[in-house]
Parts: sequence; C-alpha cells; structure tokens
Amino acid sequence: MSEFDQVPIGVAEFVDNAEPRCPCILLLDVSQSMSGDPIAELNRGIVTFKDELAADALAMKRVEVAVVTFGPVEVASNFQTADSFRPAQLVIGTDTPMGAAIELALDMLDRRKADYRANGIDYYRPWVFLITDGAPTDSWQRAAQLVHEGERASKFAFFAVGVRGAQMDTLARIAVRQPVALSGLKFRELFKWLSSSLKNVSRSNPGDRLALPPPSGWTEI
Amino acid sequence: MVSARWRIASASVIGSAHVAAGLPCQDRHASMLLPTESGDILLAAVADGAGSAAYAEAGAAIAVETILSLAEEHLAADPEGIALTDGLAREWISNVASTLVLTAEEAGVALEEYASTLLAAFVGNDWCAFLQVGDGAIVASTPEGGWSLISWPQHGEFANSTTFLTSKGAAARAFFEMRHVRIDDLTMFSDGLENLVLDKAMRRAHGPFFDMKIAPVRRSGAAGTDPRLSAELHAYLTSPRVCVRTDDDKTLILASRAAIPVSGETAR
Repeated sequence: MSEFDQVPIGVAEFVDNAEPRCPCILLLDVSQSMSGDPIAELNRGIVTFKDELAADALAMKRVEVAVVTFGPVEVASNFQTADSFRPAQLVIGTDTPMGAAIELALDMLDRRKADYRANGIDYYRPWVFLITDGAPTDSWQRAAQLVHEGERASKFAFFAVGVRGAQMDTLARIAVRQPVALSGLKFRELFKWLSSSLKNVSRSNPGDRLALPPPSGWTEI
Repeated sequence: MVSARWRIASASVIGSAHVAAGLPCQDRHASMLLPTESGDILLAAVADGAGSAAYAEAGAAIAVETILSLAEEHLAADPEGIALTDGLAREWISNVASTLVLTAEEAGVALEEYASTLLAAFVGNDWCAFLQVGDGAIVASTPEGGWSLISWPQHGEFANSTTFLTSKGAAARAFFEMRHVRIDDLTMFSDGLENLVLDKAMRRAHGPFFDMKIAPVRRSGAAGTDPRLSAELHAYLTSPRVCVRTDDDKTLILASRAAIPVSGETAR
C-alpha cells in the first residue's frame, strides 16, 4: 500500500466526468418499395445493432443513436445513449424525400453538438448512416452540398448504403465517400459491422490509427 | 513559511490499450533542477507520442530532451526569465519541431511518424512559465491553498483529436503563459489522466486528487527526484483503480518546494 493509494473516507479521488459521446444517426428509407422482406430484415438488423452494442459496457454509455425515417420525414427516435435505445418496429411509409431527411439529420447533429459543448461533454466525429433502396423523390442538391461541405470540414462522416433497386449514381453525388451496395438483404451483417466500427471509434485516443473492420460479408463487392 | 528544496515524483506508464495493440508506452517525461543564486529553477516536460506514429516514443523523447535543453541554456544566463517572452517560447517550439523534421529526414520516414504533444513548465523564484502543444494539462497550487488550472487540453473539436508538434502552425497555436508569482507545487500530466482529474463541465482541476497526491511529495525529504516515491507513483498509475478508468498511457509529474510538514501537522 503506497502513499499514493491512500484516499481519505468521503473524499472523491477522481472527478466523475460525463463519458465522451460517439453520435450516430441512422437515416432509413421506409418507402413503399421496402415492403415485405426488406423492411422485415431492416428491423431485425436494428435489433442486432442494439444487441451488439449492449455487449460492450463502454459503448453503451458512449455511443448515441438517433433514427430518422423517410418518407414522410420523421424522427423515429432522438439522440440517446445506446443503453436507452429501444429499437421500434419500423413500418412502411410513402415516398422518398431523401433530401429533406438528410438536411434534418445534419441539423439534428449540429444541435446535439451544441448541447455537448454547453455541458462540457467531449464527443467523437459523428457518423451519419443512410440506407435506401431507391432514388430521392424530392430536391436533394442542397443536401448534397451540405454533405460535401461537412465532409470537407471534417464535421461528420457520411456513409450511404444502397439496397437493391437503389439509384447508386445519385447516391454517389450526394455522398463524398463511395456508396456501398448491400448484398441481398444482409442488414444484420451490416449492423454488426456498424456497431463494431462505432465501438472502435468510441475507444480511440488522439493520434491513434482508427482500425475499422473491413466491410466484408454484407457488401456486393 | 520558509520553502524547502524541490522534491519530485514522476512516472510514465503504459496503458492497457497499448499493451493490447502491441505498442510500447509512447509517453515520455523529464525534469531537472537548475541552480541559481535565488534557488533552483525547476524545469519539467511531458510528451505523448501519437498512437499511429511508428516512432512516437522517439518523437516524445526528442521533444522533452530538446525543450529542456533549450530552456536550461537560456535560463542559466537569464535566471529571472526576463527575456523568456512569448516570441522566444514559440521559437523554442519551432526548434523542437525542426529537430523532429531532421530526425525524420535522417531516418528516411515521414514527419508524422514522430508526432508528439508537448507540455513544459519552468518554475523560478518568483516567476513561472508554461507552454503546451496538444493535450494533457498543467495544474499548480495557489497561495490561497487551492489549485489553478494553468492550461486546458488542446483537443480540437473531437475527443480523439489533438495538435502535435509536427502539425502545421503548431508554434503559432501553442499555449504560452508567464506568471510573475511564486508557486510551490506543480503537477503535469498527459491526456491519459485528463478525464480523472479535470472537471470538464466546470473547466477546473479536481482539487481533492491534487491535494491527495502532492501530500507524499511534500513529506519527502529527498533532494530533487525521489526514486522511492517515483516507483510508488508508477505502481499507483498501473493499479486497477486507475486503469479501470483509462486505458491510455499515463504520465504524472508531481513537484513541490512547500515546507515539509512537521509531524503532527496534517497535510491539506
């Protein structure tokens, strides 16, 4: 027992800081074409996402999830730490206002970061994860501009995944990072990859090489 | 109260994340005492090499050695720190960065492979100066008995980002401050300890931690670095109680020239 181990009764040796947050927005297409197997598998995938995060105590406290569905554009759940996140059963909607959904998501991110800063909470670079099986039915040019500006300024990391039937060309103009085609309906494998990646991010220290698991097992390539 | 000599306890320990990744400890630290007519000047430095840098620990070692060497040479001729200006401090940082550039060139590798942060403190008779590039922090005691957070970790927007000596504009963005006060207790630490000892919401040092850890140093009768206390500090920083809260490398320097408490007197 060294002199440094001595802690008087009733004195807090360490400060109880809030955990740094790792925010992630899921932007999910629930348009008509997702009916049947696609939405069923997507719902199963989100449950897998929660289950995988639940296996990691640190990730449960650090990863924050928000879910925005479209169309219509709806905030299915606002930002909350993974331990409070309860996947709701997503239902089929109408069209595909992707542009509006993206703009809403990026605005939600800005406001969340402002909340963190106001409360002295550190955060990692947020992830925006778009999953769609179609093409935007609204104007998406402004959304694309915001994504490009945000990526250029390293404000967030924006990933787009196309389910079969998706307009990959349009996605490639909205996202800066190359959009990925989902292999079949392998949503569970995709969400396992996502939860694993977020766990890595939420543990990373300054200067670390961020080791993301390879996106294999759920991509077309 | 008459001050005593400087007593120092210091340690750099590897974090469990580095052990798991097969990386060495990439933190380095160094301290020295420069004798002058008005007492010893304490020179201390901490550096944390970037996790992804192949020669991170070499970069950190070069950083602490170079800055102390520059400061020692200058202060030997200027013990009151009168010529230790903001401009001079930034020149020193550029100098350290240049040393890293030359080292990388000689080794035939990219400059980023030597990326490191740097914190330094120079404490004279009635003045003290501090500089910082990157994260970690410097905390000193105040005459009123509290703790003053001298510098705040430079993290950039994200929790896992920081500035390095090798970053563009590092010298311009560095923190530098000269204070014309006498401080008797100085602590410095790398980012591995930040979340344990800095209150991030209130932007201040968590006083109780510093009160507890400076006490053994104040009680020490050593001249300069106390090897036994440094070994105990090393063991403490690798203890489960600390490691459950942080898996990064950790460095902590504790230095005091406060009067040694008479037995029966309780340390604050």
